[in-house]
Amino acid sequence: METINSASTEKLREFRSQIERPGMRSIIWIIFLTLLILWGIYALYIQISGGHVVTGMRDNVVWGIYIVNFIFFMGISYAGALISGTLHLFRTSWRKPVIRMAEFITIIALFIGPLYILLCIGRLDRLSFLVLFGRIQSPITWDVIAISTDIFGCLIFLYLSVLRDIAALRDFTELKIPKWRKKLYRILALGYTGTQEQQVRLKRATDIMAGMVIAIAIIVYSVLAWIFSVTLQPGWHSTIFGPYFVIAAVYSGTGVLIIAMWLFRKIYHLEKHLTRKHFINIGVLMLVLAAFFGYFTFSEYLTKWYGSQKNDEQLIHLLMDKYFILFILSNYLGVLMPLIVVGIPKFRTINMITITAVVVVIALWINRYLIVVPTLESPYIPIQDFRPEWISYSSTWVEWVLTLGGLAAFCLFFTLGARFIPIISISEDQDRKGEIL
Amino acid sequence: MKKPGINISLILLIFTLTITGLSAQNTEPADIYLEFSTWKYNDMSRSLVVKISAANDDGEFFLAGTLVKFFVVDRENELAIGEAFSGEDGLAVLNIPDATVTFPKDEDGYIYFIARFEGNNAFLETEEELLIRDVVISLSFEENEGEKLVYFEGIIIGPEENWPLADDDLFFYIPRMFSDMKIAEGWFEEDGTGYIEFPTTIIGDSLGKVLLISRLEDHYDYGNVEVSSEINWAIPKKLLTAEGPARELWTPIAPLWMIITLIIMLSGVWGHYIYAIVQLIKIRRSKK
Repeated sequence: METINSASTEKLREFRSQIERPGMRSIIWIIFLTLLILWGIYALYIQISGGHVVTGMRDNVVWGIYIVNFIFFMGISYAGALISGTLHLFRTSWRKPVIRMAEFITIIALFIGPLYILLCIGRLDRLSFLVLFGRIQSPITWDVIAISTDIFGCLIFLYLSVLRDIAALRDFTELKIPKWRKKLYRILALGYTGTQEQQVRLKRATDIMAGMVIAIAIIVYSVLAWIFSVTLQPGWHSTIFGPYFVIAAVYSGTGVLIIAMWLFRKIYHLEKHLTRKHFINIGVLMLVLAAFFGYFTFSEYLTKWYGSQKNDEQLIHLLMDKYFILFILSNYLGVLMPLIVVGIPKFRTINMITITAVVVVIALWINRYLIVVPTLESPYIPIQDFRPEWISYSSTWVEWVLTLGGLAAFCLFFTLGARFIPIISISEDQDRKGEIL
Repeated sequence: MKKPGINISLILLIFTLTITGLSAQNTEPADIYLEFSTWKYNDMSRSLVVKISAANDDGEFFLAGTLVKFFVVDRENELAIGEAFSGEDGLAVLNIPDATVTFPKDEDGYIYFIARFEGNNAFLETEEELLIRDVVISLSFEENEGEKLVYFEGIIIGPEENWPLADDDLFFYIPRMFSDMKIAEGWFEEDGTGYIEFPTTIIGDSLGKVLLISRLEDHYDYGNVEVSSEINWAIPKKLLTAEGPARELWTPIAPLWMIITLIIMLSGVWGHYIYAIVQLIKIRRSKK
């Protein structure tokens, strides 16, 4: 039994240039991203040396765009897990060119997201206390357990998914790569040669992990939502926050997946693999999620508005006054655009669906901002040492540069990941032809 | 050589200008409609309100940005008291604080207001008159053997003497989210006084306070007169709190159900992880 055959050899030749040496454009892109990350590191230095006063966070608005980025990246990570797990488990016929990107999104976002939590913490030297003195009653402890469990599960799932591709790369003799990379492929391939026993074991493990990552993604993102909803804060104390967060996560992740598909299609000329059909299929998923997201959002705000509790009223007033434009962008444009663009057949072009995905991703980021900041700007008063300037949040350049740095790191890891393993799964393609498994 | 094209252009230009000129001459100013009313409030201030509308083939529409001048008539003389532009809703409002203007009255106590639009290219000059008597309403509150009574008195202010406001309705409201809710109707007796019982089912704020508004509405003789007062006779709005120990989640020791649930879930998840890792180890061992 061989790990590569004529079909996969042809495919490996197609992706050879991506894997062997980066072109000038790639080098410039990588340098650009690295510079952005370095700028972020400089901002982090300013924050650590100057203290959190260099950010817009204060005693009452203790969370700002860092936590928004955390929720956002964790959201797209869970979306990647849900999409790749579901596509794998149900053997969806069109999954092959999409599934690897979804897996990449899962892992990379899962590593970047929690970094923003660290940026929120004033005393990083006490980080170990979370484990050493962790209390099961604390939602923060739930989140630490949940995220670490999720990272571990997603890493196993990704490894299982790429194992056959790594084995194929190891056996592809035409590949001109440094020795250390060849050695790395050899180690990571675990001696997989595609025997009947290996195939059965791999399939069994991958199927189980595909199911697990779906369940874990739902649970972990619900835990993240519960951090907010178990408090009595206006706008957060909601029983539907768990499913609302999960829907919002998958919705934003779908948007990111479409953007990634569009970019890789353009850069690596994958027109043959990523067709209009793939964009429409993911676009329809985005449409359904848009409807669910709109429904949850409406339900959430309607009940708060109708309940007319003093602090809820204060929050709704803030959203309709100070944050009116953002509210409309997030909850109207972000919901209606996919419904119109994907819903009406003549608008369903690759570019239009991608533009919609960009709008959705921005809208969902704003949605998380509107969940976090206005609530903290609506505290229960009287409170100890109340100062009006402490209940108003305005993000600073330090926060924005670190946000940009995280985004750059996401793009950089994606780029480097695509240089290490083909962005289109080779082994999944073999499955289609029935040559393996 | 003469270019015939120029002549044709010239003729077309003259023709167009002639048609345009004739069209302009045929456009006559249209009618405009004014609806004039007045409001008097607690602090004795008064608002003069004019709703301006016009009509075309599509129906009636409000006119925004239209200047309306207000006058009060003293015998035969018109005294200008102010002017206001209409908003998008067609309303031009002149607010007159107490004691800034003394309104002349006739011997029966009537004040004669005029609202005037002076006309422009599009609309004809129009004016509307309003004849009203100045009224003062006062409220007082008395609680007697569990009954909560709101007493009211109305006085018509004349040029030299005052008269009781008699034989008329006075409506009572409390503000709610979209509009004011009517809670009672009172009646001015011959002596200008009356009372209502304050309802026992009204819910106020956390201290039981509620704003009580009494109003004479669109009266042919007095216009609109509104008097309001805050009173703590309503039922206080209270949030119900659970009895017994609350928020046990935050006790020093985690509840048993939480520990058991967590152990079951984590064991299930990590068990599957271990199974997958074992499969990978077996793949490694089975290499040829």
